[in-house]
Amino acid sequence: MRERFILFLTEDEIILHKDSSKKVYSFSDNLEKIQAELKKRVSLSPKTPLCLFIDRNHQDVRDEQLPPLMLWDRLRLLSHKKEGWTSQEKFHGYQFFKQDGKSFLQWINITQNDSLISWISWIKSLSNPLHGVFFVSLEAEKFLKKHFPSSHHYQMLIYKISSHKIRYVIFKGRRLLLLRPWSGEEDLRTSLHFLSRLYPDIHEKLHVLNLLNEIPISFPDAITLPDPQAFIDFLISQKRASCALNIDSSSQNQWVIRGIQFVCYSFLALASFSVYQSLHYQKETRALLSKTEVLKGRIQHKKALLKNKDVIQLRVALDHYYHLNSQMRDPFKVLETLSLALKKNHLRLENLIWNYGQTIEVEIGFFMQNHNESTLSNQFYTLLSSLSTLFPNSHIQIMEAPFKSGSHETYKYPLDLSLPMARIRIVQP
Amino acid sequence: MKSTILLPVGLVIVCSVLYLQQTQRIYFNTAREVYDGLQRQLKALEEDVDFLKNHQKHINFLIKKGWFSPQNRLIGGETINKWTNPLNAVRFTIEPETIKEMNTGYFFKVSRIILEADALLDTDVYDFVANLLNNFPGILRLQKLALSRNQNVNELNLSALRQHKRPNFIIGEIIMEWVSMEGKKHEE
Repeated sequence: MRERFILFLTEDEIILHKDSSKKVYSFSDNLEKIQAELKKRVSLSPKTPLCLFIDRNHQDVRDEQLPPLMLWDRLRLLSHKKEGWTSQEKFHGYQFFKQDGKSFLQWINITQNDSLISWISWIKSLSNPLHGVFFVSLEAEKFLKKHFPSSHHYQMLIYKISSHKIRYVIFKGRRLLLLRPWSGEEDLRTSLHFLSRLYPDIHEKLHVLNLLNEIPISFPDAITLPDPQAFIDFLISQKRASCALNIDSSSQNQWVIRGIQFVCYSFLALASFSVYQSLHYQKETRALLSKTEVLKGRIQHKKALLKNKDVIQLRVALDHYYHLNSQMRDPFKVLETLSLALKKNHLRLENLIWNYGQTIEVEIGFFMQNHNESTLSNQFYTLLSSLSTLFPNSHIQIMEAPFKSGSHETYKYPLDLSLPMARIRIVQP
Repeated sequence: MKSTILLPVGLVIVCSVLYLQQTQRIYFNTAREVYDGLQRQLKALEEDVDFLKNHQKHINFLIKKGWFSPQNRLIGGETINKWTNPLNAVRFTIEPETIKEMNTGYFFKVSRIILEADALLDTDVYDFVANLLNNFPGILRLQKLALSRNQNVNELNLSALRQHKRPNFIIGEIIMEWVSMEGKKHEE
């Protein structure tokens, strides 16, 4: 454990502890003389930190129950309180705690004209760094908790720091209810009587811890510790005050420490964010890798299905085939349709040309017989009607009519013995 | 004293954590790229499988037609001769190939086939044309079919009649375009 000066400040004495040595100064002496002596002693180890423990009758610690507030409202309340404290007092400290489902604000204030101010100023003037100001009454709660760990009831400690004064302190959980100098059990019972007005169950649920063998206590559950020094040893071992005051050796140091604290907190925030992101990336990467394995399996399966198949070649071949197919025309459909017209008109083809370029052209040549029952022109007209019915969207051209009556043709009468020839062209879009 | 130690320690911790974060991010980005690439590959493969499934009938037809097998004019000539049975005589010419290139880098061979057929009946010519269209390797596109009845009785026909052979009453001229797949152009 690091070496420290422990200074107990009471109303009538000031006691300096270092390691196992103890030096008691009584206030009956000159205060300046005491301070000079103390300074001389502590200056021998100027780097050794100093802790101040205050034990006096004045109840420095107060608390107040808070209504249920959101964080923002709680900060606003604290800000108002601080404004009040700084206007009246020199030093202050506070802490929030919850007990029995209720929120409490506990605070310490030391006003401008308090005798403590001169002591704190003197301590600050020392070269030794100040490592906290402790209030013995408040630290007693931790000591009681150590001995009654599971108790949420009322606890009382009877202790002695200075050589003359005995005090007792009563807590309910973390709340300090009463701090008084001991003046007999009768006085304690009176105090409890008054407290029972606010806390009616205090008589039944009070646990008493007595550090002093010389004081007989008639409370049934009272525990008396064999070692009266136990509480002082406990106090000396404390590293942090339960409620720290806003005291620092220098404002410059304070700003440096605050700056360093800010940087450290920024580092912490940045590191936390980076760690969070790293973990997030790691999680996402793992998820992706597992998905990738599944994808690989599916790809292998599909590749197995496509083994020895050149799909690009198949695609090109099929595309071209479809293109060719769209350009192909079946001549037999036209011929079948044409045969219907020829049968109906009792005609036989002499020649046929089916040609497919931009359009389909069908050219037919045939002889026409001159029947007695119908004229040649009627027969030819009937054929043309049949063709236009069978090829509705086609253009039908007469290349050569059987009459030989055109201005460019040779017309004979009576007709030749040979049958008249006709030629027709059907153009399909 | 504490602060002087805490600051560099904190700095080292932050640097380490930032390095860890960067490393994890790089791993993540790499894994993401691999995953996206595999997804694209899978999508392409699925499209190929679907294509094969949807066009299996036509692919089988083209395979049966010998579309993907190497073809030459000897095979074409053999096929024509194989189906000349209903005709009395056939004369044919297969013109030199022209190569048609597709955008995808694949080539197709295109040849014109000109046939002259002698037959007793026009139906013999029709049967011949139908057989060729169905069985010729590759794809045949009919361009012209011309049939004409022999106007005059000539010596050849009379001789055929005397010998109880089928005379050539019908003369046919058939022009077709033969298309077959050449394959993919090789990189130089």
